[in-house]
Amino acid sequence: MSWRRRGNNGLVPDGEILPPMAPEKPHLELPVATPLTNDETDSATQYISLRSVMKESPFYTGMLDQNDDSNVLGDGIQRYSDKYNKSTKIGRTIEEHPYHLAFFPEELYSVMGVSKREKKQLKLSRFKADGGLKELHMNGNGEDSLILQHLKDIADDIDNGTTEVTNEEENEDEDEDDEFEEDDDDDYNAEKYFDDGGEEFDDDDDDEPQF
Amino acid sequence: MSKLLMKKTKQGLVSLVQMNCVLHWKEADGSIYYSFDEDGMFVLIHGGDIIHHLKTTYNDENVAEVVQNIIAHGHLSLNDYLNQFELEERISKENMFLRLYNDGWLVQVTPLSFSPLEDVWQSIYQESLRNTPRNATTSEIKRVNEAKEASRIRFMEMIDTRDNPKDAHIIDHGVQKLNPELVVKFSLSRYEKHLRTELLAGLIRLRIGPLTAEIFRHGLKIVEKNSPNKRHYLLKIDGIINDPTDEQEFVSKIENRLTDDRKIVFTVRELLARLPKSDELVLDGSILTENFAKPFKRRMEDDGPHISKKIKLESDSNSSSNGNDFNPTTIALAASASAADQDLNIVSHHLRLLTAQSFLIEVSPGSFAVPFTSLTEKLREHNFEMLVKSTLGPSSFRILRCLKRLKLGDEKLIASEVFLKGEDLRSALYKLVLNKVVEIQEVPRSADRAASKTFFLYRHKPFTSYLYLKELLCFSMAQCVSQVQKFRDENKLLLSKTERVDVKGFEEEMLMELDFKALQKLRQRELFNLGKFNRIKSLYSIFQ
Repeated sequence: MSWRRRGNNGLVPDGEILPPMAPEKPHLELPVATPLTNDETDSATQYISLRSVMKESPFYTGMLDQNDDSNVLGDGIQRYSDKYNKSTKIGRTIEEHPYHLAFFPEELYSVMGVSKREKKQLKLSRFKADGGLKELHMNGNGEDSLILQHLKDIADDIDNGTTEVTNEEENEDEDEDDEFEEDDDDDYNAEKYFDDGGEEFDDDDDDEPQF
Repeated sequence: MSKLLMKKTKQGLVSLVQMNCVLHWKEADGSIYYSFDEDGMFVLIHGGDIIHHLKTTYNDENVAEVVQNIIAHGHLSLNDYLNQFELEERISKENMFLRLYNDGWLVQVTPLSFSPLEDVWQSIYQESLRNTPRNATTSEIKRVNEAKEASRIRFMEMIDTRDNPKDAHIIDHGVQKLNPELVVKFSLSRYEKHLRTELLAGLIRLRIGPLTAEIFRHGLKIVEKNSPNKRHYLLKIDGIINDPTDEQEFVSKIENRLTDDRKIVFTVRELLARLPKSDELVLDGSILTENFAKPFKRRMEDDGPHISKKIKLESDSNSSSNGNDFNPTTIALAASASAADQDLNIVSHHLRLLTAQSFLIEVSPGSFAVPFTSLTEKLREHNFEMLVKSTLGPSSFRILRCLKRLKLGDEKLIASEVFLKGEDLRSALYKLVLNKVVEIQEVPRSADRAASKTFFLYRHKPFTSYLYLKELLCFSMAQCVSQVQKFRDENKLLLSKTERVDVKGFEEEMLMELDFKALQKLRQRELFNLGKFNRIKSLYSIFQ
């Protein structure tokens, strides 16, 4: 490989094929999103609530690739914790809703439970002001913004990082001391050779009789 | 095409028809065709906002519950809903339905609501053409126009009958109620009017100020229900109105008719009655009027010790005392009358300020009409410019403004107008062209269109820019939703733990601290992303 210059600046070896320079895209500085207001949070909460209501309604026909509802992870492996998973809704199907047949074409009547004679009732949902997220106690200030929380976490990490560093240093010192202590134990420990009279039987593990 | 079983396909179609997301049309040969109806989809997307807004407007969670159930079921009959409650609760729910229907939030559903308007129009038009015979004296174009006009009248009558049914209300023991057989759904067009009100108030807040915006918002609320729809149904059908000039004329005609019928006109007194109390909205000193000193002067004269009129009494002590029985009341009445006049004066001046900026039209002294068409255009322009300024930079914004004024300009002219150097101008123009804000017009100088003799001009076309922006906003909304789905998938294990029957409701006790914190973060991220989604959605609704 020749490093001599041949019309270049000497930094690129000759004979090497360099990848093409990536085209520079114009740099756009996008504005940062401000934290959500109370109204926006409430709207988002109600949206989540409506989504869960829709999922429990008879009109939710399910996902295409999800065959077994009891297996939440979808990997086909049966687990002990599957018994605690929410059971598949059996009672409410699409045929149990009271439809107004005038609004539907006749070819769909076969799946609408038209032949069933029992009286059908609407399944109504209750309104939850907190959108069903009340169970999750939001640690006092439910309104902590994501950005503030993130900054708080960074500050915590930095604090933990400094204490970890000091801890590591102490540990290193201790390790060093331990190393020396280990060295001292076996060879240079004078007490090892001091016969106290009371501890000699501790080292005897065999069952030979004592004389 | 979908490779689904027939039963699954039918079940899916039933769900979609029930949720007003799919329309169907039966042809003469008996085959049934299904088409997508975006209105149903938009109701679901706006669902959270709708429930929150109505809960706030009516200050009643039961109203929110009713609306939630209507949206979750797509459409439902009053009987089916009310039969599940006891008598007392049933009466209160009935009243809620009546209020919502009278305020325009609910509309009646008929079989016509599930037919695509284009197909209905085509069938009426074809029938009208068949019924208009060919004549030797009448040209084909005239015959087609006559048929079109007759079809249009018949079509509009049909749609008006659907939107304003006469059998919706009944009188039961002298009390007006809704017909229990009525089938209702949520009215997206009504909600879009509310969105428009909020957006226009936001525009005034930026342009003039928050107090004027608040006054304007209350004025819009008075006429909101009767204001024109965002887009008339005739304009959604291809072939009825093709020419853009005709379209503008049609829209102006509708607005003029509404103004003449005083449907979109409000008076100062109506507005004053609707404004919140003085402690919630302080208008004193909010605007400088021509006679701003005089009301204060008059007050000082009234409150002073020298009262112009005194009631002559028999005893001298009463006449000389300041605690005269009639004077405080007289003063109080005079003060309240002058305060009311002052409020009226201030509100009038705010409205005149809005009129001066063409946000309102004073049709007669004290009566103001809202020019929705021109305001919607201003709203779009303003938001588009602000988006360009905040995302592409102030230089791009200046170039856009310059091109709007010049209509067509080359690089040199633009550089001289906006005071930008060649390189900076070219990079800003590149950003604008890349985002389809600016178009390039090639102008050849020779007949053979030689490249050396061609020069390029730049122009801005709002229509194509708005279309592209709409697509971009749609993509951004989809990104927000997929972000939510992505971190739900990343935290699948944690979510499966929280969904367990024994854990749900007891997360704080049953989960480890780390898991609980992670779940909190997940919830907050989900809420934040949905909030972002809603913000982009409100921008999308401007350009829809």
